[in-house]
Amino acid sequence: MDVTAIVFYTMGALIVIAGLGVSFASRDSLVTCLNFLVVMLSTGVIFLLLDAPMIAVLQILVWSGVTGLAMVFAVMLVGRDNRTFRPAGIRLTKIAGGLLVVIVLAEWLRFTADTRSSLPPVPPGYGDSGGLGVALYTDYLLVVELVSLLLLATLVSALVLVDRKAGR
Amino acid sequence: MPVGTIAGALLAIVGVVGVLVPLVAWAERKQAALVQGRLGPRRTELAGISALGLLQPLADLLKILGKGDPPLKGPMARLRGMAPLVALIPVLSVIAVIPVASTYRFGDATLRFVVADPAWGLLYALVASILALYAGVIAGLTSSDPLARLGALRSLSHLFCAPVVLGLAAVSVFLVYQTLALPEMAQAQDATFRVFGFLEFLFGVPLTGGLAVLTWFTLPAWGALLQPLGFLLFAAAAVVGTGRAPFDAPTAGPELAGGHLREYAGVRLGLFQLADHVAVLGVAGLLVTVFLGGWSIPWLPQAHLVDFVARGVGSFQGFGSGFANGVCVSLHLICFAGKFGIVLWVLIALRGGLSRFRSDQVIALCWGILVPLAFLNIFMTAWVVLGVTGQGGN
Repeated sequence: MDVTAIVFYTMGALIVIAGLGVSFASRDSLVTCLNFLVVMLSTGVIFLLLDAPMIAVLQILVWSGVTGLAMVFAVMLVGRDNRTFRPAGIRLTKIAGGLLVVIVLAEWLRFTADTRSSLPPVPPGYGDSGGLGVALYTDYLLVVELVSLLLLATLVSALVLVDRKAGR
Repeated sequence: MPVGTIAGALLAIVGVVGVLVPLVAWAERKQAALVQGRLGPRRTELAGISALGLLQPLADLLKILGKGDPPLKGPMARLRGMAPLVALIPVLSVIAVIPVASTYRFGDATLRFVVADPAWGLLYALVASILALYAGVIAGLTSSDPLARLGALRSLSHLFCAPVVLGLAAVSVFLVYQTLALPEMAQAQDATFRVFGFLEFLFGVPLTGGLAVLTWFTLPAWGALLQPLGFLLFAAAAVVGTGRAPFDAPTAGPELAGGHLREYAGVRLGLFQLADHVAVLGVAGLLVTVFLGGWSIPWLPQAHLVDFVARGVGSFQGFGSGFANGVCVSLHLICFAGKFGIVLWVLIALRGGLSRFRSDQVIALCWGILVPLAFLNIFMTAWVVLGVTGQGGN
Protein backbone atom coordinates (compact mmCIF):
# COMPACT_ATOMS: atom_id res chain seq x y z
CA MET A 1 0.00 0.00 0.00
CA ASP A 2 1.53 3.33 -1.00
CA VAL A 3 1.41 6.59 0.93
CA THR A 4 -1.51 7.96 -1.12
CA ALA A 5 -3.67 4.95 -0.25
CA ILE A 6 -2.76 5.18 3.45
CA VAL A 7 -3.63 8.89 3.53
CA PHE A 8 -6.85 8.26 1.59
CA TYR A 9 -8.10 5.52 3.90
CA THR A 10 -7.06 7.44 7.02
CA MET A 11 -8.92 10.52 5.85
CA GLY A 12 -11.90 8.40 4.78
CA ALA A 13 -12.07 6.81 8.22
CA LEU A 14 -11.77 10.22 9.86
CA ILE A 15 -14.62 11.57 7.73
CA VAL A 16 -16.87 8.67 8.68
CA ILE A 17 -16.03 8.79 12.39
CA ALA A 18 -16.27 12.56 12.66
CA GLY A 19 -19.43 12.52 10.51
CA LEU A 20 -21.05 10.07 12.90
CA GLY A 21 -19.82 12.32 15.70
CA VAL A 22 -21.66 15.26 14.11
CA SER A 23 -24.91 13.30 13.94
CA PHE A 24 -25.02 11.21 17.06
CA ALA A 25 -22.16 11.31 19.50
CA SER A 26 -22.21 14.46 21.49
CA ARG A 27 -24.60 16.44 23.59
CA ASP A 28 -22.29 19.41 23.31
CA SER A 29 -22.80 21.58 20.23
CA LEU A 30 -19.19 22.73 20.34
CA VAL A 31 -17.95 19.15 19.93
CA THR A 32 -20.42 18.74 17.05
CA CYS A 33 -18.93 21.83 15.39
CA LEU A 34 -15.39 20.57 15.87
CA ASN A 35 -16.37 17.18 14.42
CA PHE A 36 -17.78 19.03 11.43
CA LEU A 37 -14.47 20.86 11.04
CA VAL A 38 -12.60 17.53 11.05
CA VAL A 39 -14.93 16.25 8.29
CA MET A 40 -14.22 19.34 6.19
CA LEU A 41 -10.45 19.27 6.77
CA SER A 42 -10.26 15.58 5.86
CA THR A 43 -12.34 16.19 2.74
CA GLY A 44 -9.88 18.93 1.80
CA VAL A 45 -6.99 16.47 2.10
CA ILE A 46 -8.83 14.02 -0.17
CA PHE A 47 -9.24 16.78 -2.76
CA LEU A 48 -5.46 17.28 -2.53
CA LEU A 49 -4.98 13.59 -3.32
CA LEU A 50 -7.28 14.02 -6.32
CA ASP A 51 -4.94 16.68 -7.78
CA ALA A 52 -7.45 19.43 -7.09
CA PRO A 53 -5.39 21.67 -4.79
CA MET A 54 -7.43 24.80 -5.44
CA ILE A 55 -10.68 23.06 -4.46
CA ALA A 56 -8.90 21.62 -1.40
CA VAL A 57 -7.73 25.02 -0.22
CA LEU A 58 -11.10 26.64 -0.91
CA GLN A 59 -12.86 23.76 0.85
CA ILE A 60 -10.81 24.34 3.99
CA LEU A 61 -10.93 28.13 3.70
CA VAL A 62 -14.69 28.37 3.19
CA TRP A 63 -15.92 25.52 5.40
CA SER A 64 -13.34 25.36 8.16
CA GLY A 65 -12.39 29.01 8.01
CA VAL A 66 -15.65 30.86 7.61
CA THR A 67 -18.61 28.52 8.03
CA GLY A 68 -17.07 26.69 10.97
CA LEU A 69 -16.43 29.99 12.69
CA ALA A 70 -19.98 31.14 12.11
CA MET A 71 -21.22 27.87 13.62
CA VAL A 72 -19.00 28.19 16.69
CA PHE A 73 -20.20 31.77 17.10
CA ALA A 74 -23.82 30.64 16.88
CA VAL A 75 -23.11 27.93 19.45
CA MET A 76 -21.71 30.58 21.77
CA LEU A 77 -24.91 32.60 21.40
CA VAL A 78 -27.58 29.89 21.72
CA GLY A 79 -25.84 27.66 24.26
CA ARG A 80 -23.87 24.48 23.93
CA ASP A 81 -26.23 21.86 25.30
CA ASN A 82 -27.88 20.03 22.41
CA ARG A 83 -30.63 18.69 24.71
CA THR A 84 -32.01 22.15 25.44
CA PHE A 85 -31.98 23.12 21.77
CA ARG A 86 -35.14 21.65 20.25
CA PRO A 87 -36.41 23.87 17.47
CA ALA A 88 -39.79 23.16 15.86
CA GLY A 89 -39.75 20.71 12.98
CA ILE A 90 -36.56 18.97 14.07
CA ARG A 91 -38.07 15.53 13.39
CA LEU A 92 -39.03 16.56 9.85
CA THR A 93 -35.48 17.83 9.30
CA LYS A 94 -34.07 14.51 10.47
CA ILE A 95 -36.31 12.54 8.09
CA ALA A 96 -35.37 14.85 5.21
CA GLY A 97 -31.69 14.47 6.11
CA GLY A 98 -31.99 10.67 6.16
CA LEU A 99 -33.72 10.71 2.75
CA LEU A 100 -30.97 12.94 1.35
CA VAL A 101 -28.32 10.49 2.57
CA VAL A 102 -30.11 7.61 0.83
CA ILE A 103 -30.45 9.58 -2.42
CA VAL A 104 -26.77 10.67 -2.44
CA LEU A 105 -25.65 7.10 -1.65
CA ALA A 106 -27.77 5.66 -4.46
CA GLU A 107 -26.49 8.28 -6.89
CA TRP A 108 -22.90 7.55 -5.89
CA LEU A 109 -23.37 3.80 -6.36
CA ARG A 110 -24.88 4.38 -9.80
CA PHE A 111 -22.04 6.73 -10.75
CA THR A 112 -19.27 4.37 -9.65
CA ALA A 113 -20.94 1.42 -11.39
CA ASP A 114 -21.18 3.42 -14.64
CA THR A 115 -17.83 5.11 -14.79
CA ARG A 116 -15.38 3.17 -12.67
CA SER A 117 -13.02 2.36 -15.53
CA SER A 118 -14.00 4.95 -18.11
CA LEU A 119 -13.00 8.23 -16.44
CA PRO A 120 -10.57 10.12 -18.68
CA PRO A 121 -7.40 11.56 -17.12
CA VAL A 122 -7.72 15.25 -16.29
CA PRO A 123 -5.75 17.65 -18.51
CA PRO A 124 -2.82 19.52 -16.94
CA GLY A 125 -3.85 22.70 -15.18
CA TYR A 126 -7.36 21.35 -14.59
CA GLY A 127 -8.77 22.67 -11.32
CA ASP A 128 -6.28 25.51 -10.86
CA SER A 129 -7.43 29.04 -10.09
CA GLY A 130 -7.70 30.12 -13.76
CA GLY A 131 -9.65 27.06 -14.88
CA LEU A 132 -11.89 27.25 -11.86
CA GLY A 133 -12.65 30.93 -12.47
CA VAL A 134 -13.46 30.33 -16.13
CA ALA A 135 -15.71 27.36 -15.27
CA LEU A 136 -17.56 29.31 -12.58
CA TYR A 137 -18.22 32.31 -14.79
CA THR A 138 -19.11 30.45 -17.99
CA ASP A 139 -20.64 26.98 -17.50
CA TYR A 140 -21.88 27.55 -13.97
CA LEU A 141 -22.75 31.24 -14.15
CA LEU A 142 -26.41 30.66 -13.35
CA VAL A 143 -25.60 28.66 -10.21
CA VAL A 144 -23.09 31.28 -9.06
CA GLU A 145 -25.64 34.04 -9.54
CA LEU A 146 -28.36 32.07 -7.72
CA VAL A 147 -26.06 31.44 -4.76
CA SER A 148 -25.03 35.09 -4.67
CA LEU A 149 -28.73 36.05 -4.65
CA LEU A 150 -29.23 33.69 -1.72
CA LEU A 151 -26.33 35.31 0.13
CA LEU A 152 -27.74 38.75 -0.61
CA ALA A 153 -31.13 37.68 0.77
CA THR A 154 -29.40 36.39 3.91
CA LEU A 155 -27.58 39.67 4.32
CA VAL A 156 -30.77 41.69 3.92
CA SER A 157 -32.63 39.43 6.40
CA ALA A 158 -29.84 39.82 8.93
CA LEU A 159 -29.99 43.60 8.56
CA VAL A 160 -33.78 43.59 8.98
CA LEU A 161 -33.50 41.44 12.12
CA VAL A 162 -30.85 43.68 13.62
CA ASP A 163 -32.87 46.76 12.74
CA ARG A 164 -35.97 45.34 14.47
CA LYS A 165 -33.98 44.40 17.53
CA ALA A 166 -32.58 47.89 17.66
CA GLY A 167 -36.20 49.06 17.94
CA ARG A 168 -36.35 51.03 14.75
CA MET B 1 9.20 12.52 -1.02
CA PRO B 2 12.74 13.56 -2.03
CA VAL B 3 15.42 13.50 0.63
CA GLY B 4 16.26 17.13 -0.13
CA THR B 5 12.73 18.24 0.75
CA ILE B 6 12.76 16.37 4.06
CA ALA B 7 16.21 17.76 4.89
CA GLY B 8 15.00 21.24 3.97
CA ALA B 9 11.91 20.89 6.15
CA LEU B 10 13.98 19.70 9.12
CA LEU B 11 16.47 22.52 8.58
CA ALA B 12 13.63 25.07 8.41
CA ILE B 13 12.03 23.77 11.63
CA VAL B 14 15.34 23.65 13.50
CA GLY B 15 16.31 27.09 12.17
CA VAL B 16 12.98 28.65 13.09
CA VAL B 17 12.46 27.01 16.47
CA GLY B 18 16.09 26.84 17.53
CA VAL B 19 17.45 30.15 16.25
CA LEU B 20 14.81 32.62 15.10
CA VAL B 21 12.26 32.11 17.89
CA PRO B 22 14.84 32.70 20.67
CA LEU B 23 15.99 35.79 18.78
CA VAL B 24 12.42 37.09 18.59
CA ALA B 25 11.93 36.43 22.31
CA TRP B 26 15.14 38.31 23.06
CA ALA B 27 14.27 41.16 20.70
CA GLU B 28 10.84 41.53 22.34
CA ARG B 29 12.44 41.90 25.75
CA LYS B 30 15.05 44.34 24.49
CA GLN B 31 12.48 46.37 22.57
CA ALA B 32 10.18 46.60 25.60
CA ALA B 33 13.20 47.69 27.64
CA LEU B 34 14.03 50.39 25.10
CA VAL B 35 10.47 51.74 25.15
CA GLN B 36 10.36 51.73 28.95
CA GLY B 37 13.86 53.15 29.43
CA ARG B 38 15.30 49.98 30.98
CA LEU B 39 18.38 47.97 30.13
CA GLY B 40 16.53 44.73 29.50
CA PRO B 41 17.95 41.23 30.03
CA ARG B 42 21.71 41.20 30.66
CA ARG B 43 22.32 38.89 33.59
CA THR B 44 22.38 35.53 31.82
CA GLU B 45 25.99 34.61 31.36
CA LEU B 46 27.99 31.72 29.95
CA ALA B 47 31.63 31.61 31.04
CA GLY B 48 31.37 35.20 32.19
CA ILE B 49 30.08 36.50 28.85
CA SER B 50 26.56 37.97 28.85
CA ALA B 51 26.45 38.90 25.11
CA LEU B 52 23.67 41.50 25.53
CA GLY B 53 21.52 38.95 27.34
CA LEU B 54 21.20 36.71 24.28
CA LEU B 55 21.05 33.69 26.56
CA GLN B 56 17.87 34.98 28.22
CA PRO B 57 15.55 32.88 25.97
CA LEU B 58 17.42 29.77 27.14
CA ALA B 59 16.81 30.79 30.74
CA ASP B 60 13.14 31.39 29.88
CA LEU B 61 12.93 27.92 28.33
CA LEU B 62 14.48 26.28 31.40
CA LYS B 63 12.05 28.19 33.60
CA ILE B 64 9.02 27.03 31.60
CA LEU B 65 10.22 23.42 31.53
CA GLY B 66 10.87 23.54 35.26
CA LYS B 67 7.36 24.74 36.06
CA GLY B 68 4.68 22.27 36.94
CA ASP B 69 2.13 21.44 34.26
CA PRO B 70 -0.99 20.60 36.25
CA PRO B 71 -3.33 18.15 34.50
CA LEU B 72 -6.27 19.89 32.86
CA LYS B 73 -9.58 19.00 34.44
CA GLY B 74 -13.13 19.02 33.19
CA PRO B 75 -15.20 17.17 30.59
CA MET B 76 -13.12 18.38 27.64
CA ALA B 77 -9.66 18.25 29.13
CA ARG B 78 -8.26 16.20 26.24
CA LEU B 79 -9.49 18.68 23.64
CA ARG B 80 -8.11 21.54 25.71
CA GLY B 81 -4.78 19.74 25.93
CA MET B 82 -4.59 19.64 22.14
CA ALA B 83 -5.15 23.39 21.71
CA PRO B 84 -1.44 24.35 21.95
CA LEU B 85 -0.67 21.97 19.08
CA VAL B 86 -3.56 23.39 17.05
CA ALA B 87 -1.91 26.78 17.54
CA LEU B 88 1.60 25.66 16.69
CA ILE B 89 1.46 23.16 13.81
CA PRO B 90 -0.33 25.35 11.20
CA VAL B 91 1.86 28.42 11.80
CA LEU B 92 4.97 26.28 11.66
CA SER B 93 3.85 24.85 8.33
CA VAL B 94 3.47 28.36 6.88
CA ILE B 95 7.26 28.73 7.05
CA ALA B 96 7.55 25.89 4.51
CA VAL B 97 6.07 27.93 1.66
CA ILE B 98 8.17 31.08 2.18
CA PRO B 99 11.11 31.29 -0.25
CA VAL B 100 14.24 32.77 1.38
CA ALA B 101 16.15 32.95 -1.91
CA SER B 102 15.66 32.31 -5.62
CA THR B 103 16.35 29.21 -7.73
CA TYR B 104 19.95 28.69 -8.87
CA ARG B 105 21.62 26.33 -11.31
CA PHE B 106 24.93 24.73 -10.47
CA GLY B 107 25.81 22.68 -13.53
CA ASP B 108 23.05 20.08 -13.77
CA ALA B 109 21.85 20.59 -10.21
CA THR B 110 19.16 23.08 -9.24
CA LEU B 111 19.22 24.64 -5.81
CA ARG B 112 15.98 26.01 -4.40
CA PHE B 113 15.49 27.83 -1.14
CA VAL B 114 11.91 26.93 -0.34
CA VAL B 115 10.70 23.74 1.34
CA ALA B 116 7.39 23.44 -0.51
CA ASP B 117 6.30 25.31 -3.61
CA PRO B 118 2.57 24.79 -4.15
CA ALA B 119 0.88 26.84 -6.87
CA TRP B 120 -1.50 28.15 -4.20
CA GLY B 121 1.12 29.08 -1.57
CA LEU B 122 -0.47 32.37 -0.50
CA LEU B 123 -3.88 30.75 -0.04
CA TYR B 124 -2.25 27.95 1.91
CA ALA B 125 -0.63 30.46 4.25
CA LEU B 126 -4.01 32.14 4.79
CA VAL B 127 -5.75 28.83 5.47
CA ALA B 128 -3.07 27.69 7.91
CA SER B 129 -3.14 30.97 9.80
CA ILE B 130 -6.95 30.80 10.10
CA LEU B 131 -6.79 27.22 11.39
CA ALA B 132 -4.25 28.30 14.00
CA LEU B 133 -6.71 30.89 15.28
CA TYR B 134 -9.04 28.06 16.32
CA ALA B 135 -6.62 27.21 19.13
CA GLY B 136 -7.70 30.19 21.21
CA VAL B 137 -11.35 29.41 20.59
CA ILE B 138 -10.96 25.74 21.55
CA ALA B 139 -8.86 26.59 24.60
CA GLY B 140 -11.36 29.16 25.84
CA LEU B 141 -14.68 27.53 25.00
CA THR B 142 -13.74 24.17 26.51
CA SER B 143 -12.82 25.85 29.76
CA SER B 144 -15.23 26.42 32.61
CA ASP B 145 -13.49 29.64 33.54
CA PRO B 146 -15.64 32.68 32.65
CA LEU B 147 -12.63 34.87 31.84
CA ALA B 148 -11.23 32.23 29.51
CA ARG B 149 -14.62 32.01 27.77
CA LEU B 150 -14.76 35.76 27.46
CA GLY B 151 -11.29 35.65 25.90
CA ALA B 152 -12.50 33.02 23.43
CA LEU B 153 -15.48 35.19 22.52
CA ARG B 154 -13.15 38.08 21.82
CA SER B 155 -10.92 35.75 19.78
CA LEU B 156 -13.97 34.74 17.77
CA SER B 157 -14.95 38.32 17.10
CA HIS B 158 -11.41 39.05 15.86
CA LEU B 159 -11.59 35.91 13.75
CA PHE B 160 -14.55 37.37 11.91
CA CYS B 161 -12.46 40.39 10.97
CA ALA B 162 -8.86 39.57 10.19
CA PRO B 163 -9.27 36.69 7.69
CA VAL B 164 -11.79 38.71 5.65
CA VAL B 165 -9.39 41.62 5.21
CA LEU B 166 -6.46 39.25 4.61
CA GLY B 167 -8.41 37.41 1.92
CA LEU B 168 -9.50 40.63 0.19
CA ALA B 169 -5.94 42.01 0.29
CA ALA B 170 -4.72 38.72 -1.19
CA VAL B 171 -7.21 39.14 -4.08
CA SER B 172 -5.62 42.44 -5.13
CA VAL B 173 -2.15 40.89 -4.84
CA PHE B 174 -3.32 38.02 -7.01
CA LEU B 175 -4.59 40.50 -9.61
CA VAL B 176 -1.17 42.13 -9.81
CA TYR B 177 1.02 39.01 -9.92
CA GLN B 178 -1.52 36.69 -11.58
CA THR B 179 -0.20 33.87 -9.43
CA LEU B 180 -0.59 32.57 -5.89
CA ALA B 181 2.80 30.83 -5.76
CA LEU B 182 5.08 32.71 -3.39
CA PRO B 183 8.39 31.99 -5.24
CA GLU B 184 6.84 33.33 -8.45
CA MET B 185 5.66 36.44 -6.61
CA ALA B 186 9.17 37.06 -5.30
CA GLN B 187 10.57 36.46 -8.79
CA ALA B 188 8.11 38.95 -10.29
CA GLN B 189 9.42 41.62 -7.90
CA ASP B 190 13.00 41.09 -9.07
CA ALA B 191 12.47 43.85 -11.66
CA THR B 192 11.88 47.59 -11.87
CA PHE B 193 9.06 49.74 -13.15
CA ARG B 194 9.11 53.26 -14.55
CA VAL B 195 7.68 55.76 -12.08
CA PHE B 196 6.17 57.95 -14.83
CA GLY B 197 5.13 55.05 -17.05
CA PHE B 198 1.53 55.79 -16.15
CA LEU B 199 1.75 59.02 -18.21
CA GLU B 200 2.30 56.95 -21.36
CA PHE B 201 -0.64 54.80 -20.34
CA LEU B 202 -2.87 57.83 -19.73
CA PHE B 203 -1.97 59.78 -22.88
CA GLY B 204 -1.32 56.79 -25.12
CA VAL B 205 1.97 58.19 -26.53
CA PRO B 206 5.57 57.39 -25.56
CA LEU B 207 7.54 59.98 -23.58
CA THR B 208 9.94 61.58 -26.06
CA GLY B 209 11.99 64.76 -26.35
CA GLY B 210 12.53 66.58 -23.07
CA LEU B 211 10.11 64.26 -21.31
CA ALA B 212 12.29 61.24 -22.12
CA VAL B 213 14.28 62.04 -19.00
CA LEU B 214 11.27 60.90 -17.00
CA THR B 215 11.75 57.36 -18.28
CA TRP B 216 15.02 57.17 -16.33
CA PHE B 217 13.25 57.16 -12.99
CA THR B 218 12.62 53.59 -11.98
CA LEU B 219 11.64 51.87 -8.74
CA PRO B 220 11.85 48.22 -7.73
CA ALA B 221 8.63 46.43 -8.69
CA TRP B 222 7.87 45.60 -5.09
CA GLY B 223 4.37 44.77 -4.02
CA ALA B 224 4.42 47.56 -1.45
CA LEU B 225 5.08 50.11 -4.22
CA LEU B 226 2.63 48.63 -6.72
CA GLN B 227 0.02 47.92 -4.04
CA PRO B 228 0.65 50.39 -1.18
CA LEU B 229 -2.92 50.14 0.11
CA GLY B 230 -2.90 46.35 -0.21
CA PHE B 231 0.34 46.25 1.76
CA LEU B 232 -1.08 48.33 4.61
CA LEU B 233 -4.31 46.30 4.68
CA PHE B 234 -2.47 42.98 4.62
CA ALA B 235 -0.05 44.07 7.34
CA ALA B 236 -2.82 45.41 9.59
CA ALA B 237 -4.99 42.30 9.17
CA ALA B 238 -2.03 39.99 9.70
CA VAL B 239 -1.17 41.69 12.99
CA VAL B 240 -4.84 41.46 14.08
CA GLY B 241 -4.76 37.77 13.13
CA THR B 242 -1.72 37.01 15.27
CA GLY B 243 -3.60 38.34 18.31
CA ARG B 244 -0.54 40.20 19.49
CA ALA B 245 -0.42 43.65 21.04
CA PRO B 246 -2.00 46.08 20.26
CA PHE B 247 -4.72 43.60 19.17
CA ASP B 248 -4.39 41.28 22.15
CA ALA B 249 -7.77 42.01 23.74
CA PRO B 250 -8.55 38.22 23.91
CA THR B 251 -5.64 37.63 26.26
CA ALA B 252 -5.43 41.08 27.81
CA GLY B 253 -3.62 40.77 31.11
CA PRO B 254 -5.28 43.55 33.12
CA GLU B 255 -8.84 42.65 32.08
CA LEU B 256 -8.91 38.89 31.47
CA ALA B 257 -5.71 37.82 33.21
CA GLY B 258 -4.55 35.90 30.16
CA GLY B 259 -7.96 34.94 28.69
CA HIS B 260 -7.85 31.48 27.17
CA LEU B 261 -4.24 31.03 28.34
CA ARG B 262 -5.27 31.29 32.00
CA GLU B 263 -5.38 27.61 32.75
CA TYR B 264 -2.22 26.61 30.94
CA ALA B 265 1.21 26.33 32.51
CA GLY B 266 4.54 24.70 31.87
CA VAL B 267 5.13 23.07 28.51
CA ARG B 268 1.63 23.76 27.15
CA LEU B 269 1.93 27.48 27.86
CA GLY B 270 5.40 27.32 26.33
CA LEU B 271 3.91 25.82 23.14
CA PHE B 272 1.39 28.68 22.96
CA GLN B 273 4.22 31.19 23.32
CA LEU B 274 6.25 29.34 20.71
CA ALA B 275 3.26 29.47 18.33
CA ASP B 276 2.93 33.20 19.00
CA HIS B 277 6.57 33.82 18.07
CA VAL B 278 6.46 31.54 15.02
CA ALA B 279 3.32 33.38 13.86
CA VAL B 280 5.22 36.70 13.95
CA LEU B 281 8.01 35.12 11.93
CA GLY B 282 5.47 33.83 9.42
CA VAL B 283 3.81 37.24 9.08
CA ALA B 284 7.19 38.93 8.61
CA GLY B 285 8.20 36.31 6.02
CA LEU B 286 4.93 36.75 4.10
CA LEU B 287 5.15 40.55 4.15
CA VAL B 288 8.73 40.46 2.86
CA THR B 289 7.95 37.88 0.18
CA VAL B 290 4.68 39.31 -1.08
CA PHE B 291 5.27 43.05 -0.69
CA LEU B 292 8.95 43.84 -0.14
CA GLY B 293 10.59 42.00 -2.98
CA GLY B 294 11.48 38.84 -1.06
CA TRP B 295 15.11 37.98 -1.66
CA SER B 296 15.54 40.41 -4.60
CA ILE B 297 18.11 43.19 -4.48
CA PRO B 298 16.64 46.54 -5.62
CA TRP B 299 17.71 47.60 -9.14
CA LEU B 300 19.90 44.49 -9.46
CA PRO B 301 18.00 41.59 -11.03
CA GLN B 302 19.34 38.09 -10.54
CA ALA B 303 20.37 37.62 -14.19
CA HIS B 304 22.35 40.89 -14.20
CA LEU B 305 24.02 40.04 -10.89
CA VAL B 306 25.11 36.57 -12.04
CA ASP B 307 26.32 37.98 -15.35
CA PHE B 308 28.20 40.80 -13.63
CA VAL B 309 30.00 38.51 -11.17
CA ALA B 310 30.71 35.87 -13.84
CA ARG B 311 32.29 38.49 -16.10
CA GLY B 312 34.25 39.96 -13.18
CA VAL B 313 35.84 36.64 -12.23
CA GLY B 314 35.79 35.14 -15.71
CA SER B 315 39.46 35.93 -16.28
CA PHE B 316 40.50 33.79 -13.29
CA GLN B 317 40.95 30.07 -13.70
CA GLY B 318 38.59 27.79 -11.86
CA PHE B 319 35.80 30.33 -11.38
CA GLY B 320 32.73 30.12 -13.54
CA SER B 321 29.01 30.56 -13.36
CA GLY B 322 28.95 28.30 -10.27
CA PHE B 323 30.95 30.84 -8.32
CA ALA B 324 28.77 33.67 -9.63
CA ASN B 325 25.67 31.79 -8.54
CA GLY B 326 27.25 31.18 -5.13
CA VAL B 327 27.84 34.91 -4.69
CA CYS B 328 24.28 35.54 -5.85
CA VAL B 329 22.88 33.06 -3.28
CA SER B 330 24.82 34.75 -0.47
CA LEU B 331 23.72 38.25 -1.48
CA HIS B 332 20.09 37.20 -1.84
CA LEU B 333 20.10 35.47 1.53
CA ILE B 334 21.62 38.56 3.14
CA CYS B 335 19.06 40.77 1.40
CA PHE B 336 16.15 38.62 2.59
CA ALA B 337 17.55 38.49 6.12
CA GLY B 338 17.95 42.28 6.16
CA LYS B 339 14.36 42.97 5.06
CA PHE B 340 13.06 40.23 7.35
CA GLY B 341 14.91 41.71 10.33
CA ILE B 342 13.55 45.20 9.69
CA VAL B 343 9.94 44.00 9.31
CA LEU B 344 10.30 41.84 12.40
CA TRP B 345 11.59 44.78 14.40
CA VAL B 346 8.67 46.95 13.27
CA LEU B 347 6.18 44.20 14.22
CA ILE B 348 7.79 43.86 17.62
CA ALA B 349 7.92 47.63 18.06
CA LEU B 350 4.14 47.80 17.52
CA ARG B 351 3.77 45.77 20.69
CA GLY B 352 5.47 48.35 22.81
CA GLY B 353 4.49 51.42 20.85
CA LEU B 354 0.69 51.26 20.65
CA SER B 355 -1.92 50.94 23.35
CA ARG B 356 -4.38 48.04 23.23
CA PHE B 357 -7.44 48.22 20.96
CA ARG B 358 -10.74 47.16 22.51
CA SER B 359 -12.56 44.33 20.73
CA ASP B 360 -15.31 46.64 19.47
CA GLN B 361 -12.65 49.01 18.14
CA VAL B 362 -11.00 46.12 16.28
CA ILE B 363 -14.36 45.17 14.72
CA ALA B 364 -15.11 48.78 13.81
CA LEU B 365 -11.63 49.18 12.33
CA CYS B 366 -11.91 46.02 10.23
CA TRP B 367 -15.50 46.23 9.00
CA GLY B 368 -15.82 50.01 8.96
CA ILE B 369 -12.48 50.97 7.42
CA LEU B 370 -10.33 48.06 6.24
CA VAL B 371 -12.99 46.00 4.41
CA PRO B 372 -14.37 48.94 2.36
CA LEU B 373 -10.81 50.04 1.57
CA ALA B 374 -9.93 46.48 0.52
CA PHE B 375 -12.93 46.38 -1.86
CA LEU B 376 -11.94 49.78 -3.26
CA ASN B 377 -8.40 48.50 -3.74
CA ILE B 378 -9.62 45.40 -5.57
CA PHE B 379 -11.77 47.42 -7.99
CA MET B 380 -9.04 49.99 -8.66
CA THR B 381 -6.41 47.28 -9.15
CA ALA B 382 -8.68 45.31 -11.48
CA TRP B 383 -9.38 48.49 -13.48
CA VAL B 384 -5.67 49.29 -13.85
CA VAL B 385 -4.69 45.68 -14.62
CA LEU B 386 -7.45 45.46 -17.24
CA GLY B 387 -6.33 48.79 -18.70
CA VAL B 388 -2.65 47.84 -18.83
CA THR B 389 -2.94 44.27 -20.06
CA GLY B 390 -6.13 44.73 -22.04
CA GLN B 391 -7.48 41.48 -20.63
CA GLY B 392 -8.23 39.88 -17.31
CA GLY B 393 -6.06 37.04 -16.14
CA ASN B 394 -3.51 34.79 -17.80
